[in-house]
Amino acid sequence: MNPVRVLCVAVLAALLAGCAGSISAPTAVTALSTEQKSALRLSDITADADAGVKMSDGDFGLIAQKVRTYIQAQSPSVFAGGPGALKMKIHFTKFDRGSAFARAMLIGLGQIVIEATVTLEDTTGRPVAEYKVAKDFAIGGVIGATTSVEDVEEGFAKSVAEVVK
Amino acid sequence: MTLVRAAALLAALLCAGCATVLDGSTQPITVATTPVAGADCVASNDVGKWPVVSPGTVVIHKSQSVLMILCSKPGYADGKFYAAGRMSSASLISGMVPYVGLINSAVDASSGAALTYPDYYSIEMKPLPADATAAAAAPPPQTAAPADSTTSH
Repeated sequence: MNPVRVLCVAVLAALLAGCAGSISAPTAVTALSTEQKSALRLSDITADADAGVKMSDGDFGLIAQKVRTYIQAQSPSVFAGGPGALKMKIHFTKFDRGSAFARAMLIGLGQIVIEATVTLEDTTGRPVAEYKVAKDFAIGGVIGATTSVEDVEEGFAKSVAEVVK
Repeated sequence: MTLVRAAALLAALLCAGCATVLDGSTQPITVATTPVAGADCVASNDVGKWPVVSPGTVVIHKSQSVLMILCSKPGYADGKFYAAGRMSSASLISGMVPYVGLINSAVDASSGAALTYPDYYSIEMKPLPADATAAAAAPPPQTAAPADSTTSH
């Protein structure tokens, strides 16, 4: 096979593989102000889901852990605590692991979908800000077959971290 | 053609669940805690729970579910870590073999061998404030027992 063709296929595969972990901009329902963002402190991150959304406590813990890691990477002092620290709640409204086999067969089938509402609450439980975050993946072929929901969770976690950026 | 089919069938029988054969359905993991050792840790997923004292190695059963490791030690807040399994290389390779790939993948998925958790976990233990430690160490306050529960007659 022509080496240039092989190189093009490899580059395309690498670019498409990055889609699962790419950032999807959060949609603000009630946005944090610039002042609130600059003084932001978080006390905890918790996750739950709508009834009917199939997720385990391990899934909640793993995603909250990923979100915490990305937030700490972009602003290390945000978990330093303090009296005004907010609590981040991730409420999943859709979590579809899709089907690797269906993705391998045809683009658009067996897609992975993660949708959630991210709320920042003060110590009294009053919502201070609210965002919608959604991430999906529907690429087919070998890349679709070898991409798992954990890869898409990485992109989702990065997208949630954007809320406090 | 009959010979090719027979060879494929034989290969399917021999190679069924290559990751199960090569990697097995169990996996040793090492758990360490920082900055202190000697924490009581429990690794768990949907097929079982495995206790280990840090630093230490324990053999766990692989599964499709998330692995949780919870470590506790007096004077420290509980340390938690979650890990998802990744597709093992043996499973990836065996899944690509024509004819037998589907059988391999099905066997590996059912045994949990298709996925592999990370081998090493370093879990941070944060010291509790002094007053919280004292409260945890103090005996529980005496309360009156319900009239009809533990009173012997």
